[in-house]
Amino acid sequence: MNGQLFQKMLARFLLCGCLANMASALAQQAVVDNVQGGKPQRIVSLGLCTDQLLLMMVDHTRIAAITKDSKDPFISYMAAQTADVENHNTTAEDIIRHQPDLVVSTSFGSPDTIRILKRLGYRVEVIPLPTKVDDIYPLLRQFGAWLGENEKAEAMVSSVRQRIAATEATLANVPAETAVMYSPNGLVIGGDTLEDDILHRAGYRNLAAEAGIKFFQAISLETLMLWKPEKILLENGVNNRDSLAHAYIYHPAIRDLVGAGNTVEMPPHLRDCFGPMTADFIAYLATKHTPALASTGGALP
Amino acid sequence: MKITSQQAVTESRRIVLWPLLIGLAVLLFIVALHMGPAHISIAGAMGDAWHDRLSVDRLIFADVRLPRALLAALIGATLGLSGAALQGLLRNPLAEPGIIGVSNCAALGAVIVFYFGLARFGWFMLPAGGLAGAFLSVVCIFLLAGKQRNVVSLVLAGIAVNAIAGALIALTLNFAPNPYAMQEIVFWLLGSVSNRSMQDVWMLLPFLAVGWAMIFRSGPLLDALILGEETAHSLGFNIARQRWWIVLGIAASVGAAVSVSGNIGFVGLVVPHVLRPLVGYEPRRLLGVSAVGGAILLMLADITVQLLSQGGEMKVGVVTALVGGPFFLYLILRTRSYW
Repeated sequence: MNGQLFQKMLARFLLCGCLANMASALAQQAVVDNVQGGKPQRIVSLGLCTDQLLLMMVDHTRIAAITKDSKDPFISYMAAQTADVENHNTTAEDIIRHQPDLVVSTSFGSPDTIRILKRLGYRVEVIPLPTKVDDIYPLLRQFGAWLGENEKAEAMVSSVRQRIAATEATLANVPAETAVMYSPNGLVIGGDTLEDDILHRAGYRNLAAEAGIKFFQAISLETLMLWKPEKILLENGVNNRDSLAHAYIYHPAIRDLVGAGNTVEMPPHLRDCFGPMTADFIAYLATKHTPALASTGGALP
Repeated sequence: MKITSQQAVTESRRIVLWPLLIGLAVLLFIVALHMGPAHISIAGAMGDAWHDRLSVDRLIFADVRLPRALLAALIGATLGLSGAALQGLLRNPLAEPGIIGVSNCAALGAVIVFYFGLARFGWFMLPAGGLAGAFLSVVCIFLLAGKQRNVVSLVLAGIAVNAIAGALIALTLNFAPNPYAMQEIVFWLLGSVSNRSMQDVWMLLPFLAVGWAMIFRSGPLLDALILGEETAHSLGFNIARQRWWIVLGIAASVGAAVSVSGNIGFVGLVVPHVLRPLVGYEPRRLLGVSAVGGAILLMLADITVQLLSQGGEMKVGVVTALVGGPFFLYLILRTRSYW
């Protein structure tokens, strides 16, 4: 009796395995069929950051689908150039519908979706997130290699590098201002982050990093005030202020502390991802310095 | 003979009670101003404010500490006062804005206004949303349990109103456009006075002033109601109309308070019960002392929160519930004879 039951279960288990193998074999066949000249032709991106790099690097006929986020001009640098591209809803089911021969994602992409797609035999490439500006260049090259667009990636790298160097050159004689990046729920951005490096290159001292904070950490409003930054860079992140989390960054004490002209809203479409927008972001922050004559050590004694 | 001596005792207690309560409230207010992660000199900050000198101490004092301490005092007073008024009005020892669902309904009204951008239509929109929610719930409770002096039916009606309001808060936050909305349900269900500004204090004050005035002017009715509705009527009270004054007063003050702090539970239950024997069981006299007592309890709870959680993530409602929950249980056991 027990032996029979065991045999039945074993048979079922093997059958399942066979079906899964067949599905993966079919998928792999599809991958091989679709690749022309080594370049993937039906590319799906799982998130905003890979969406934008994809839009910049390949002909849009090769993009099978990207997320809806990349069409929102508030958070997407490439929103204006998404009209000819289809959307998916980030579930594995919806992505399989497009029969992609390459799926790209950042390490922030949904782990479940990535696991299912890999198990079904789709080629999924995951790009890590940079923690300093110099990390961006090898990542862009790696991304370009996956797409079969090495030359475009190389051109992008040298353009970003040149633009950042140009901004840094304009700041050579500008004294560094102290700043804090302040996000909803009272989070500050500390050291070991891309944002920290961006702040430095835009001519600021990051007081959160100097206070020993690594990555992101919530601090009290009083602590922020004791730091007495000259600039407070606000991260809204979403195009909506109606939450208690946002009440932190729009608290009247912040404007009283640094003066109305010294709070800067960071544009999410420049800040959220890495790539050519990083050069724009550094240039944008560099324009926010108080002119040297007026800079006599901040609003408060 | 015995009665007169008891009256004398109550009278002497009263004379001591007011200075004691006020003194304690002032002391806690000063302590509250000293609570916070930054080490600042409050005297120096007040000096800077007086001479209109800009300093970080002054800004921390005026923009962060003062509004927090004021809100704890004002909202605590509102909850204590309305607890006393509700217990007198419903002649029911378990009546309290949190337990009978008034606070949650006020939070629902505020949540709808706050997360859907309606607050842009005027400074008064947020407290008005709280008022509307609170008003609806008091009317509901009246219809469900007002006529009978029955503890069980009041608590059961409260459970139902609370559950519906809580679910609607969750539903509203789910549909709110801001991605942070859903995680903020903790604030609305447990309450907090941290990270607020003087803008919130100014927004609250007119609603509290009107609400408190309406409750206090109904004090004589509460005294008369001890003798029963018929006797109160024969004493010349227009009960139906005066009852609306109290209901509106509670709705305005609790509604506005909750729209700033979320639902802070049990203050309105504990405070009147502790103070009632000290004012000779007279509902009218209980109102004033309950307001001061509520301010004391909430300031104490908020100071405790700041001592326990450096950084202030714990909600003040956790502390009031830890004090009030067991007290509620004790009251239920003691009032068993009514069932």
